[in-house]
Amino acid sequence: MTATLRIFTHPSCPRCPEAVRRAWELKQRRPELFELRTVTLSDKAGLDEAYAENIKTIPTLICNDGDAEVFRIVGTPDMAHLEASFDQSPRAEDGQS
Amino acid sequence: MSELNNCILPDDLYFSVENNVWVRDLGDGTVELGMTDIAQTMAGNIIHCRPKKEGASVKKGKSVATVESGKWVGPVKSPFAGEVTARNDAVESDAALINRSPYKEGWIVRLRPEDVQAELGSLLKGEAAVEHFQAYMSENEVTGCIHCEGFEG
Repeated sequence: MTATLRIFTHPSCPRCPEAVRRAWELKQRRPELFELRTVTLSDKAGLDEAYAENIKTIPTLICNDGDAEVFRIVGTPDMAHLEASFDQSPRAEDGQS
Repeated sequence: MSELNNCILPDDLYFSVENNVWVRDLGDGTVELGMTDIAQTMAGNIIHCRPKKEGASVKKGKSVATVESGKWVGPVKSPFAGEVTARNDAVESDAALINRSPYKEGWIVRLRPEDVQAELGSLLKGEAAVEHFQAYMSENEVTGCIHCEGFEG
């Protein structure tokens, strides 16, 4: 199963576009790693999802493998950190990435 | 420090829920005033703030600053009358400071009311403030506060 990376953002957050851009670049380079979805907190559905995940700061990136959370990054990661989070995750150790 | 749906409400501050501002007693007859965490969330990304000049007189319920965000332009209102003794030039040059640090670096003006203790007595603190803000947020359909990376409280 392909992992899903959700990025929680808001239009007023100055660093959110950078976080989205980096995730997108990684996906372009390694498309097999994950599916990408942005969740905006500017609407109720996004806010509800953020509260369900106990999001307090944005951007926050959450990687799920099905229902299981694989890793979470709060703030804007640099590319090396983002990629390493996938490569060092339990999914990678199982040979699934 | 109290927290209400991720909105920070420091216990050492006084609050005017009606005006959505906080007040800090500076102990010398003056107070410091700014926007609450709830107010900065409702405003969105703040792009301009123009506090009143030093020496300006302010009436109760009237503006101490004009704030502009991507979706709103409006006044920051003082809960009491007084004289502006200082304005925070930092928020005029970097208005997003109010989003990042509403209770510290993002203060807006300092005021000298006629009777500090009497004025502070009319404001809310601690649990009472939390309760009233809970009702305020419900009335205004504010689910909670959003903190961007770098938020300092």
